[in-house]
Amino acid sequence: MSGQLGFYLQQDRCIGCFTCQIACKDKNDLDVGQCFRKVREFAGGGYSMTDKGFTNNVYAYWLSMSCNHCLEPLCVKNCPTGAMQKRAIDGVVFVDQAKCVGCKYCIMSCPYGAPQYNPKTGKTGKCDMCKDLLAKGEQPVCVAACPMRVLESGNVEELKKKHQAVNQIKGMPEPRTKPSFVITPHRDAVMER
Amino acid sequence: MGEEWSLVLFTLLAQTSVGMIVVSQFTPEVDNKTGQIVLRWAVGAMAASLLISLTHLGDPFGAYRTLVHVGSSWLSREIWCASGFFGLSLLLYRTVRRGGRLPSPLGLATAALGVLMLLSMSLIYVETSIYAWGTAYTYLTFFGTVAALGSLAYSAVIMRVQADTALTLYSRTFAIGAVGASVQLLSLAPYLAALAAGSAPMQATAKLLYQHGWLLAVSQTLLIAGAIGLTFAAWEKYSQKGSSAAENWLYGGLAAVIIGELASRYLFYATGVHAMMGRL
Repeated sequence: MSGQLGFYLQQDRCIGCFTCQIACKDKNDLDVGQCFRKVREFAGGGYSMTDKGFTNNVYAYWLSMSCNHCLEPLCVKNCPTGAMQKRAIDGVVFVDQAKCVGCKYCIMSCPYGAPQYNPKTGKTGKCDMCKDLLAKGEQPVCVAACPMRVLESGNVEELKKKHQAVNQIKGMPEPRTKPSFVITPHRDAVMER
Repeated sequence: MGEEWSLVLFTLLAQTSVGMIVVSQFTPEVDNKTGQIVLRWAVGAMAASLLISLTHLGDPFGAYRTLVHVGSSWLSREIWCASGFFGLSLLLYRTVRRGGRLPSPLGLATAALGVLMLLSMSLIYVETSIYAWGTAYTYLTFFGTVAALGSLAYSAVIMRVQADTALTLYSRTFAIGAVGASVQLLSLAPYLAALAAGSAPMQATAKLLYQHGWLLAVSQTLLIAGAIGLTFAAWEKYSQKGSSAAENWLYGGLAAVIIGELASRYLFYATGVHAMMGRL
């Protein structure tokens, strides 16, 4: 029993290189339009004139996110076939392709947009934390590929303790499903309390 | 949005079928032959609805597998209820064909299962990460459609088949239709207020509705014009000159309600903004 597994992202050091996304697409052989891990850009702010000249509050940050293998996954609860499952041993959420009928209800349910519909197979797929690699004692491919070493995977409670991190940043939905994802946020992504 | 047309048609046809059977239980004036024709339309609408729902699935031949997770999934529960409603509708049709009455304990049981199906159908959308669907508007628009479309479709069949029906039947069915359309219109104000005061994805839905304001206005105008204006004219004509004078007014009202409901349901799906707000 390894406890609930999850991901950690040191977001303030992520440079948005997309290596994790590409490694994931490559391993899972995903077509254009499907990403089990996706790097999203958040940008905003602007320039304004003050009595001392121009000042700016321009910001940009990246969020690399896959399935968060939630403690209370709505996709698993709502899946009508039981194809979407959560492993008892480590909490990894995965799709049993033999049971999926492609109703897309998991896509509507997941707050993080993790499940992806594959029109070729007529079924939904998503990050399974590379459970085949985990079984061999290896890291998920996104973690292994990250050149900045800002992604980690492991027991989510240990990751929380180690990094003193949060599970929501600006731009992410409320953590109603208790995501197993911890983040050291970029300074502009910190939630206002 | 294109792929959601199957859900638009599935929900509208199923709600029409349930509405027709629910309304039929409060109209003892209907004779046996008319009851059979009403049930043919109701069963036909539900059969079409179920067939169309399969086109939404990536693997339609695996549809039977959706029945297994009834313990926690509202979609699974809806499919159980829809199958049960369809089965009981067929049984009711068989009973009526053999001389039984349409308003009956079996009819009430069928209507009750239809209402359960609608409740499950509403909860499917309420329990998603599209926050705009998590409001009371989802229940109100679904049940309002049942009342508006169901009662007018039912009335149109009765007027066509049973020319000498008492005016009191139409007084009741038209009133139900008017309530259904009014509920949909009146629930829009608190819905829009809740969206405007809600989270960022809800505000994005409000913005989309504002951008499609003309379609929203057209849908609600058609609903009210069809379910109140044209049907009131049909009621008045019927009270003065009988069904031949009222038929076209009622069919016009039904057509307006159908187009209004199609536009309204299209907007329901097209303006649903996911919690990640386009960053999927």
